[in-house]
Amino acid sequence: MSEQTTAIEVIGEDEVAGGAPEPGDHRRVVTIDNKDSGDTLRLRVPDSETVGAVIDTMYSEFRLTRETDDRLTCQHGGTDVYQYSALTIADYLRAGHCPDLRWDFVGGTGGAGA
Amino acid sequence: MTVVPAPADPEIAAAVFADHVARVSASPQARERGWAFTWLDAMHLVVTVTGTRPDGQRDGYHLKLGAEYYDRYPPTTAFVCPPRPATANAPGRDGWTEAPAGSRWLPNVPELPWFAIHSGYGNFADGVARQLVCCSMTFEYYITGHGPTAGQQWRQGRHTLAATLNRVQDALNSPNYQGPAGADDP
Repeated sequence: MSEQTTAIEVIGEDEVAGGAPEPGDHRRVVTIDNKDSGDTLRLRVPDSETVGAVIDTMYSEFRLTRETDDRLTCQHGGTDVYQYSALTIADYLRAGHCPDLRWDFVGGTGGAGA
Repeated sequence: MTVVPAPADPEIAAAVFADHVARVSASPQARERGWAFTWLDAMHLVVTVTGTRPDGQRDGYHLKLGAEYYDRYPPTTAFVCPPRPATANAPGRDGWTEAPAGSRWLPNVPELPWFAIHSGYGNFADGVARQLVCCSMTFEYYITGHGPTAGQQWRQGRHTLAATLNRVQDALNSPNYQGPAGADDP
């Protein structure tokens, strides 16, 4: 008998063995590179959990509050992740968004125009 | 004219810098991006980075980062030419010297709204034109008359030198990256 885990867990680099779960394991690993600090966060997430809950956990783990200039994007293709906050991870993947669940987080950057 | 802030306490700046360099250089991000770190002294290091042109051709560059104002401000930042011994065809180069206009060691990344590289920017407080890696994750940005929004500013505790390296890397991976600024290797 397996017990279904419902919490989002922070896991170490050595615990990541690809994005695909074992048969019967309804959890996925979301990897988030914080490009402001250089830290990388790995979360094991039940696929019934929402993208928004993963985002909230990310901010909590990075000890940040969300700001208007923040960007969270899929590493491959650069699609914005925030817009899918209401989707569960299962639906997010089913819709074909960011299959490897590797995201980039970065704050605003001023350039020549600032 | 922009006021240049007082330098950080060297011992504290060096300790924080070393801690952040250790953290970033051991990170998956550094491994995946191929960054190589070379310490020059307790306050300075050179990070070797790679640019990828739209046609896939790759070019190596050296970015010198300094802790003079770290980490209340970002690292001082400049693309530099590597040292080399003298040969029959070229003079030797002692140390890591700032890459000049037209240099093979200076990237050409035009028309990004959030990043630019100026080989001879004239708005420094001392009136001397020098290189400016123009984005809010370099120290020089803050002493050359720029006004980033609150969300764009470097913040102690949130940012490390990884922010500087990632902005440079993103520029060098962007479709705007065109290769070296020139062929000169004086």
